[in-house]
Amino acid sequence: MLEIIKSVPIDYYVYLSSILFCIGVFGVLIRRNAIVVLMCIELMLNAVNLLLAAFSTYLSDGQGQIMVFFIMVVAAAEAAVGLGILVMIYRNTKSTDISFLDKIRN
Amino acid sequence: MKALLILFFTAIAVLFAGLSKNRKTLQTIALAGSILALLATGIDLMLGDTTGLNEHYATMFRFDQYALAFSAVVLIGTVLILGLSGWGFRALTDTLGDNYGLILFSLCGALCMFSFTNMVMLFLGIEILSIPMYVMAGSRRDEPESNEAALKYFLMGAFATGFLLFGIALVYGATASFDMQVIARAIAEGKHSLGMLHMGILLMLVGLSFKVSAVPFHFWAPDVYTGSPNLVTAFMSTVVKTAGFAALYRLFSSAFVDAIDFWGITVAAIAALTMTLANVTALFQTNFKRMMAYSSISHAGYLLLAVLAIGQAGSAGAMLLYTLSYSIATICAFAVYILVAEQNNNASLDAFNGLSKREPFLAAVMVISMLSLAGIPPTAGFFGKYFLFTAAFERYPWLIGLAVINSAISIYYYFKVIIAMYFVRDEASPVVVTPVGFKWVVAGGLVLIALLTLAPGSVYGLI
Repeated sequence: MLEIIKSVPIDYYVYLSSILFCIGVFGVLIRRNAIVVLMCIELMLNAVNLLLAAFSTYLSDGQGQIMVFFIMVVAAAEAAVGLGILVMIYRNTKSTDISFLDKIRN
Repeated sequence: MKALLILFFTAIAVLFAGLSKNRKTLQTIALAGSILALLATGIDLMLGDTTGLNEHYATMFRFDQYALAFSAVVLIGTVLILGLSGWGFRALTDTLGDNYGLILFSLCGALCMFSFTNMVMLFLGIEILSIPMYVMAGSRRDEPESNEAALKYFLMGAFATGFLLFGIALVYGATASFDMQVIARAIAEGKHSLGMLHMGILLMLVGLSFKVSAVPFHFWAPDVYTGSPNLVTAFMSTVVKTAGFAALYRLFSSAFVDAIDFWGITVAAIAALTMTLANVTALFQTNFKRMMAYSSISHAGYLLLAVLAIGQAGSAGAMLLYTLSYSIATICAFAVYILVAEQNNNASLDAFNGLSKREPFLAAVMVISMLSLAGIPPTAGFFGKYFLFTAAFERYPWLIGLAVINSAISIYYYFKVIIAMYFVRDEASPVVVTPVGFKWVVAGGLVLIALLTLAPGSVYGLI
């Protein structure tokens, strides 16, 4: 299994994760639907997970994979809170569009 | 470590006590727990005995003098805020116990951010601090402003976490470890891939800049600070900010110190931008909380000077004194604002018109807080600024020049409040009834400011 993973140079894993991360970043910046924004944030975190797993294999070091578990747990907690906030907003505004969120400035 | 355990168990106790819905009980438990934690921290700090603490937690934590001193700062801030909470949280009913629990849990995260020796713990500390804060920002569920603040804070916070984590992953790839000592050794010996390491450091800096609201990653702060419930804003702008900076300093001083030639100029640019932009924008604000939000961003700019002065003697001590005096002054100012604004339903600076006639004590407290924030001698804020500027002067003299000019600009908007209180005649001067808890907290804050003014060296010399 390790040999199969290592048959691809580490640089390619870095490129792939960076591309996934950038897709996530642009999604957060461009999309207006709060649920899609949340999914893009998850994409960013999963890009990090992929990168950590790849490094962990190449460095033959377990720490990176432990970190992946921590990130998954925290991402789940974050998603729970985020969706809770979203439900609260949906109850008040009947919309998940973040461009409606301009009440404070006005 | 004692403080962390005390806070954790108090938080759980408060969650259970939340069933009773008795305001007095909940506040008393939360206050007792944080005062106990403060005492434990204070005793450890005075004894100065932190040897052998490292081995017990798989080199994840080290409660050294630095961690203990900053724990004391945030605990003092929390005790003051919890003192205000009896009246400040009066709008909350069935979620009151949860709110006290969340404050204490996020404090546990702050303590992890002061004591981490491993980047995993840094990440967990930041998340333990942030996730309760997202909930607390939205704790007034029926108010659209509070909802909006919660969602903005959550989205920006999670976005920043993504950057921080990508940075951590790249640094791990470059140095093969999450442990800060190992990273520092790898950087010093040059056994790493340079591009990946530098990219990692930059991304971690971006992530942490979001958290401490430094320009150009500050845009969420004014809205979130304005929309959150008042007392939560006070907590955010003091405890969360202190935690963010202490973590930033600890990370850069122990892991990345040998790469200072690379990140120094970036941090200097961020500091210059943060100070200038925030101070100039604050001049035009009419809403008190928005003004305080920009003021807190500008203080982030000054505090970055401490990060730039890493390696110079006294830079950590200067940051400690600065965060302590800033926290106390901000909480006192918010205490007065909460009373005046919530009783008159007016969040703008006009709410303070003619306050000195009716409530001379509150007005005097506000004056002292504003003078301290502006850094007018001989207040505590002046000594904080003085030590901070001298620590960073050797490396970045031009930046200190800019910082001094900025301090002068900031006097204008801090004095707007004082002028409104003392020199604007208003027939309908604000009605203010002061609850008992507020008087105690504000008096405690004034005593602390006085102590800092008389003996700033004792705090400065702690670490």
